[in-house]
Amino acid sequence: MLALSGWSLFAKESEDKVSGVIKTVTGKNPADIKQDARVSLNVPTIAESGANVPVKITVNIPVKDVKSVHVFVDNNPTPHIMGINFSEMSGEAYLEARVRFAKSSAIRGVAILNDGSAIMDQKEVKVTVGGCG
Amino acid sequence: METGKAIIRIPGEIRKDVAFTIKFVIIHPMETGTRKDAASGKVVAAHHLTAIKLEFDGKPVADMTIGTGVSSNPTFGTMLKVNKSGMLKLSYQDNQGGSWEKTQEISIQAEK
Repeated sequence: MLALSGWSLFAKESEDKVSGVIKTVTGKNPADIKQDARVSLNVPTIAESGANVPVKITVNIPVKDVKSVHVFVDNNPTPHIMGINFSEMSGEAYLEARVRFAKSSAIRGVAILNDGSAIMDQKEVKVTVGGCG
Repeated sequence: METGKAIIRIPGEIRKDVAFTIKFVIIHPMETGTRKDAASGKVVAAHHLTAIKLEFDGKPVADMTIGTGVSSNPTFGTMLKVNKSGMLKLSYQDNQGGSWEKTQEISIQAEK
C-alpha cells in the first residue's frame, strides 16, 4: 500500500513536469490540447529497449494549415523530444524519428495549426529496458 | 563513421508536385549529459544535436529543434514536394559548436 501511494505520488510529479514543459513549448494549457483523429501517432506498444523507439506522426490536414509538430515523452527527464516546423514545400505534415524512453511512458504528438489551435494523439509505450543510460 | 556524417535517402523516382519521403541518418553520440561512463564512473558531458534545417534551392522546407530524448545516430524522416529539380541542403548543429551540412540532388522524373 505504501509502495502504491509512493508510485502515484511520483506519477503526479512527472505529470506536473510534462504539463509545464508542454505549456512552455506550445503556449497552450495541456488540458486544452484535445486528442484528435486527424493526428496519428504510430509507436510500438511494447519496446524491448528504450534506447531506440521508432515514432511516426502524420497530420491529416493540408500542410499549409499546419505550423509544427512536437513530440513529448511524459516520464522522461527531458520530456520535450523534438519539434519540427513545416512549410508548404513539405507537401505533407509528416515526421518520423527514433526516440529514447527512460521507462514506460505516455508519448504525445502535438500538432500546432496555423489558426492557433493545437491537437494531439497520445499512446502508451511499455519499455522493458530504459534507454537513458 | 565520424560524428557529423549524414546519409540522405530519397526515392528512386520523384514526380513533380507529388510529396515524397526523405529519410536521413546523422552519425552523432547524442550524449544527454546525465549518463555515467561505466569504466570511470564520471558523468559524460552533454553532446547532442540541437537543430536541423532542410532547404531546397535556398528556400526553407522544414526546421527541427532537437532535444536529448532523440536516440544516438538518429534517423529522421519527413516529406518534400517540389515542382522542379534542384538541390536539397541538410544543415545541422550540436551543443558543442559542431556544424555540418550535406547536399542531395533532387531530379524530377521526365514527364511521359
